[in-house]
Amino acid sequence: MEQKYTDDTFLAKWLNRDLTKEERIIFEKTQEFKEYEKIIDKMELFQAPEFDKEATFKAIQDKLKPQQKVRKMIPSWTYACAASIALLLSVFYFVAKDTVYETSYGEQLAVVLPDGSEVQLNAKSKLTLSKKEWEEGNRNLTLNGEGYFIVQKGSKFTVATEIGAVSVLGTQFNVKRTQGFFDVKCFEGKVSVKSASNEAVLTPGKGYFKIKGQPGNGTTFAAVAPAWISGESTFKSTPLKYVLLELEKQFNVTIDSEKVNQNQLFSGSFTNKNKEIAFQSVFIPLRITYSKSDSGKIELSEK
Amino acid sequence: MSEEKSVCNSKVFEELYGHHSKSLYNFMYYKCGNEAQAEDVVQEAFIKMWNNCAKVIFKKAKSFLFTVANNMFLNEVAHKKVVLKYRQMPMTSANNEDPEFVMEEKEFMVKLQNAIADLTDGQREVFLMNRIDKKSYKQIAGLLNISVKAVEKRMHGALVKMRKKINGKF
Repeated sequence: MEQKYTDDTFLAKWLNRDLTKEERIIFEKTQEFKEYEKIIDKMELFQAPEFDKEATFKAIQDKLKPQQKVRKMIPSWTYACAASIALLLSVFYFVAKDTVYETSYGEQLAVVLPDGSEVQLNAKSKLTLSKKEWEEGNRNLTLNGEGYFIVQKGSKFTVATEIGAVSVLGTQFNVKRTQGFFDVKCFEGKVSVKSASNEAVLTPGKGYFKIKGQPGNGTTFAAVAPAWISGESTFKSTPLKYVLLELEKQFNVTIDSEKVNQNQLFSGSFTNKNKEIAFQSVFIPLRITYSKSDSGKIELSEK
Repeated sequence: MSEEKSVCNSKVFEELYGHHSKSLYNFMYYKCGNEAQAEDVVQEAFIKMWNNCAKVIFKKAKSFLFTVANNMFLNEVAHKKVVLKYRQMPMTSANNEDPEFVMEEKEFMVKLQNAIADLTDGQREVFLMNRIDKKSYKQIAGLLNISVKAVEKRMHGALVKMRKKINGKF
């Protein structure tokens, strides 16, 4: 029964239809052919077991996670470089750089100055002090925004702003300067205010108030500390645009006030803790309606 | 000139997995007859490829996987009898419903199953890759790093052996 084939790849060639016609015809007449054909035929019914491709891939990924090589994103020599740069920078910083204290929207910051004087910064304010000058005994500061100063006795203490300079000899005072708005209040001691056009000496309960382009005015008030220290912003006969500015600073909003009279005066206060209540306490007395626009701005309009 | 794809890229890795995982799994199953072990080998082979991704050229990735899997099989996979599952015959014509015929067919399938199990590993993997996965001799030769001639010899040998086994002629 053993059939001798022409070579040991004969059946492979038959399967692959690589036999010559003659070879094939001879082979197809044999009994073996029928048996082989049946095997091949029935082989079609077999199938490989199911393979869960996704589950296996997940398993691979899980196994890979802890094994994954840690690739250094930054070559190690740069660390040495960065460290030495940082060192150099910090030397410069401590030797020559001004110290800057800055607050963002709705923030307050308490600062103790090198001489023990205290400063409270209101929202969106920036206080700069030159280390070098302080070491020489000149207590000079630059302020942009609003700050409450409790000054230790000593040499002349000066807060410079773009509009005017405020000098004292140990006292408590509040300076506010934002975009053309300059307001100083003296709570204790004596404060001298110098601006380009005039000079004033303030005693407790007295203030100085100036809007750019207009002559400065003396003001009076009755308080022991600025209201914003306890979370309120107060205004007395202040043009609306400065009130809006303060709202923007306290609550980090943008207010579109084109449709209302920005120069109407506002006297009153608003809380710095709740936006809705603050808006209501400013806008209801002024008969202004406000709504949030699509762009996130607060739009104002006359009632 | 298209740029050579890096196997270290996770997208490329996934692509390779998508293309080759199933045939690698089948290959391993034809060898060892154990689904769980075949799956383990597939996992290990792909993990090994990822860990050596810098050394594996994209075009050689497939053969790398099969070589790794084969080596793993030789080293550690315990051998089991390969029992392939088969679909039931479609019972459509009246002729097929003859109980004797059905019985005979069933017997034949069992014989065929045993014949496949009794092939050498080399014969079985080649025969099943060709018959079930429908891979050409040339493709199989490429995956196993053997010549086409060797594949043909294994095919031939497998068929001769199976026929003898089934028909009980030794």
